[in-house]
Amino acid sequence: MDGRALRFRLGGINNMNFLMYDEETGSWWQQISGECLFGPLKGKKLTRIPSDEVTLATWRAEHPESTAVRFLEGIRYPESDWEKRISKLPAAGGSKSRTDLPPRELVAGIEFNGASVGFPMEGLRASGPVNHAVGGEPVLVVAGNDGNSVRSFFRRFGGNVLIFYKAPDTAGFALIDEATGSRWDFSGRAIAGPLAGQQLERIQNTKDYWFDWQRYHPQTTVYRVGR
Amino acid sequence: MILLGTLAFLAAVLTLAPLYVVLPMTKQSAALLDLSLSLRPVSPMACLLLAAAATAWFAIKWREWTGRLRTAGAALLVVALSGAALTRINIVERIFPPADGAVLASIAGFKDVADTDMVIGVKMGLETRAYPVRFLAHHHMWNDKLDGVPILPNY
Repeated sequence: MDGRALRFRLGGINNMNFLMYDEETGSWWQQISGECLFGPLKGKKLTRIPSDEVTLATWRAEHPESTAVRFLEGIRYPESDWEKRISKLPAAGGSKSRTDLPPRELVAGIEFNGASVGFPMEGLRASGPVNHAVGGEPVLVVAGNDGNSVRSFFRRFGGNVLIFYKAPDTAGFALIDEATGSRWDFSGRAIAGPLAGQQLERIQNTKDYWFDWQRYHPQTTVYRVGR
Repeated sequence: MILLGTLAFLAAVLTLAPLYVVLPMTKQSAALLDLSLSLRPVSPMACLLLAAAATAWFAIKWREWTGRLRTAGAALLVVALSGAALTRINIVERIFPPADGAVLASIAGFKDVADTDMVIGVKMGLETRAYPVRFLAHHHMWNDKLDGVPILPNY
């Protein structure tokens, strides 16, 4: 923040999302937004960096040079299926909560040009790649073969807007664009066809519970498969 | 007794106010959160003074108070003392301890989580790193540096 490295500690929970404070100034920050709510740095906002939420296998295959953070010894970490179990917990909505989706439904949220859209994971798993627009910009949102990973890309490419389909001839992950018939992998790279070697530009998506996404994006729309 | 009651009440307020920032399942009001965070730095010392005053007053008066009066006095003393104790711990970090001392490994033989488990992957400049979601789901964040940039992976 402003040329100074801050170290953060967990300190509280606000609206079912963590509050943290920095050891340097004692300011309090909301985790989901990176906004400072209280203290000397009130009103400042941490810069969001791009990140990916994918399976270990996918990340290893795409980034063999990567490092990974090891578990600390003597700690009982949540089991692999903890997300499924936590999804049954209640969620506090508050009176202004939207009821478009169940509070604990997972969405892939995208914010662009002042607009936001939540894409239910359930729908992404079932429907295959989604060709949609956020803030007037054509985007592709697609779940990985594991059903939990999700990535989004800009569809504008070389003056055209591409439309993507699931490749019908494989059980693995492959997309085909309608205009050129090129094949694309989950990292957004064309692996065969006229556009082979080309790379789609990523747009950040946030996997979040609906109750949390709608709270910080009150104007959000919800993408519905088949509507 | 009124004095002891007041001391206990003040201790309770000063304890509950900072606890407002850790309420897990509610939607909090911004104004009360501000108030709570303002009280937080003074609460531990204030509660300690209140507890000391309450203890002293109880020590002076407990012979004089009998039966229910003494029980009530003792209960109020407990409230004042718990205030002093509760304002000194970071409850959230008790449940989700910081990941100080965590180390890195190459992803090639990484076996701490299953291949099908999710990771948060970050690429900064020349460095890439995976933060297992199960790791972040427990610690909720880790102060890290990637390609020289201080970053805070969190969950």
